[in-house]
Amino acid sequence: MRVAVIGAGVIGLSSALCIHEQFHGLVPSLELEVYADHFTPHTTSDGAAGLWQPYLSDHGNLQETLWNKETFDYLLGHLHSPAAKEMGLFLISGYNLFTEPVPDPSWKNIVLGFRNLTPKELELFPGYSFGWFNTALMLEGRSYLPWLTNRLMQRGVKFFHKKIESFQELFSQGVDVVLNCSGMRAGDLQPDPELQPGRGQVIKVLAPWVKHFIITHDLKSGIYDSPYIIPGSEFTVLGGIYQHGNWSEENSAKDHKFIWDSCCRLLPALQKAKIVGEWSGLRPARPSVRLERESIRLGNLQAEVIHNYGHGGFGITIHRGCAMAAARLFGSILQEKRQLATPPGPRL
Amino acid sequence: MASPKVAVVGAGVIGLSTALCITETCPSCSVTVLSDQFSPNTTSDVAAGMLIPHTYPDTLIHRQKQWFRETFTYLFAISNSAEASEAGIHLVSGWQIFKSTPKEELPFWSDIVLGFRPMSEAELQKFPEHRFGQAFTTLKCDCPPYLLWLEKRLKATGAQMYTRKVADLWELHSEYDIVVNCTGMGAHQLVGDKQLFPVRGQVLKVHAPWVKHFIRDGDGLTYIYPGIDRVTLGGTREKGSWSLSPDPGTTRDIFDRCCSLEPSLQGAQDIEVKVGLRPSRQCVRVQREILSQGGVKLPVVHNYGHGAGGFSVHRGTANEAAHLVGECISALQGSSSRAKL
Repeated sequence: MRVAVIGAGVIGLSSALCIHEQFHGLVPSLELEVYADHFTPHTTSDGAAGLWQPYLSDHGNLQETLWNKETFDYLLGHLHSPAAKEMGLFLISGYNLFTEPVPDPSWKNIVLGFRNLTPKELELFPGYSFGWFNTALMLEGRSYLPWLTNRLMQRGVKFFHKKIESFQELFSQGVDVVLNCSGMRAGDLQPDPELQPGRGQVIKVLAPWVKHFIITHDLKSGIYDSPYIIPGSEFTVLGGIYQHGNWSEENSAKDHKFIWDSCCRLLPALQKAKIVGEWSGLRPARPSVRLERESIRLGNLQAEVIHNYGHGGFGITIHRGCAMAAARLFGSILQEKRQLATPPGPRL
Repeated sequence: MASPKVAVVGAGVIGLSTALCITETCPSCSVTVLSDQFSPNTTSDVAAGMLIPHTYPDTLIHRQKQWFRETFTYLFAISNSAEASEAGIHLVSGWQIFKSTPKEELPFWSDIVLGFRPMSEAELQKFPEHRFGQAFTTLKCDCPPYLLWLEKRLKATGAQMYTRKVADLWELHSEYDIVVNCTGMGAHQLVGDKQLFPVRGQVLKVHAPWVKHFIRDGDGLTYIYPGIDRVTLGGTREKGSWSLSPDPGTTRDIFDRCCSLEPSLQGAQDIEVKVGLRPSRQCVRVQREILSQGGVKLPVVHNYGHGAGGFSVHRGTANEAAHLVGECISALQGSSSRAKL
């Protein structure tokens, strides 16, 4: 049974790991392969700061909230394990700031210690009159992706540095199931007008005195289009760009100025921070995550694709819940194939 | 008295902040800091500089609260300015945890730090051996940066600083009009204060930049305080011990205790061991005194004995000491004008 995963970002690698962990023992012939045009540290997941935080509103999508919770609980369970440092996993607290009161988010009981900000805390952030404080998790892609890769390689999963041009390409080689975790490029494999880039740009600085994340919100502009500051284990990420429909992965001087000026206004101490890098990436945005099976007829063969893409700016936040769901879909494929493989009973 | 000459003895956080307050309240004063040690070799440099007050048994609570409030307000403003990183001041959130519920669930300072509240059950899961906890956000003064920043501010006012071991306050009476004694543990010898005793603290300073929260056991013995570049792991409270040599067994013990609260510290790198003697007293001595010898008078303002709470109250006591210096000046001016009649 050959399974090919397209994409080696957080979604591809975690889906591969879930499937191998759960089915390797049940399916001795299971051969798992990962195909990608980019590997860590050059994936979208590597550019993200790595903060676990869903969007403000789940738009009634309870399934995504459940996947977010599953991910948080999974990571929290690993916090005290010896692997935590290697995974790039640690607790972080911080502030979400608003210019007006907002309802509690879907994730308020998932994170730890969620509360509203006190008036004295709001004094730190002139211009913002309302906000939240909570403790969440950081999962840094630059560490987590290599950790996932090592786990997969230890399990004998093979990696291929190759841009797959079509599902057909893999099926004609004898692959039985394809996991489509191609993120922003899913449209190249199968047109999906609902998948659009949410372009982001970030500045990486050295500011080790910053111990909290600070995320501002402009309810009129939408998520991530307002300055944010996220301290990592080595450097601090400054951001605040979300451009729907913009495919450019070039750093923009105008966006740089916006991020720098607005973050320094938010945290004056940043004025003295040293800039060590800049990056632009495309959030694979979609009204909802596409996580579903698709059976494709190829001649007289039925090929199976499991789609797992469109996680926008919350890939890291939701990855484990989605990987487990993808593994369940894989399980149901196996179930069906077993039934087909079982010879019919004797005719009387 | 046109330009009173004030000598401040001691260049730890107390000496430097007191000297700075004096330049602010008495711009006409000429201020000189004299100390045998400057940063990075003061007791203050060993401390983590966390703003979590120590309770002095014999100082009125409202006075301690006032000192803390003034210090917190002062540092809060710096942390929110462009100077924050140079001054080494930053906000940090975390937890104070207890194995058994403390008698006092609301410490006197709970309304001064930010966001103080009891920890939730979910938060306490991180500490299976602890049954109760408090979550809050406070400030940390990293040393050496904070002391160096105070020195820079002082130099900008024209204050002078000299390395000099003062063996007797009377040495200074011919050069200075007022002496301010901020000698910390040195006051034991310098002014013979037998109520002052060392409480030895050993700490580890490690590289563990993924640790973003403080964790403090309410017993005060085990704590993890993340600074700008290093995390301070502590500690010990050895009353009466004068030893400044690091003890390897203690190092192992501190590391183990901290790892049991924060397992990821197993991966900490570059462990440095430091020792400091907390200049401890039942109450902080912030007090005026007029020394007298052979008809000569020397006004002295004492500001020492802050023990485990130096950083937490430093600005408040510095303000009070500067105020006392003002009183000394008034008294001197009063007596000199009387002398003219």
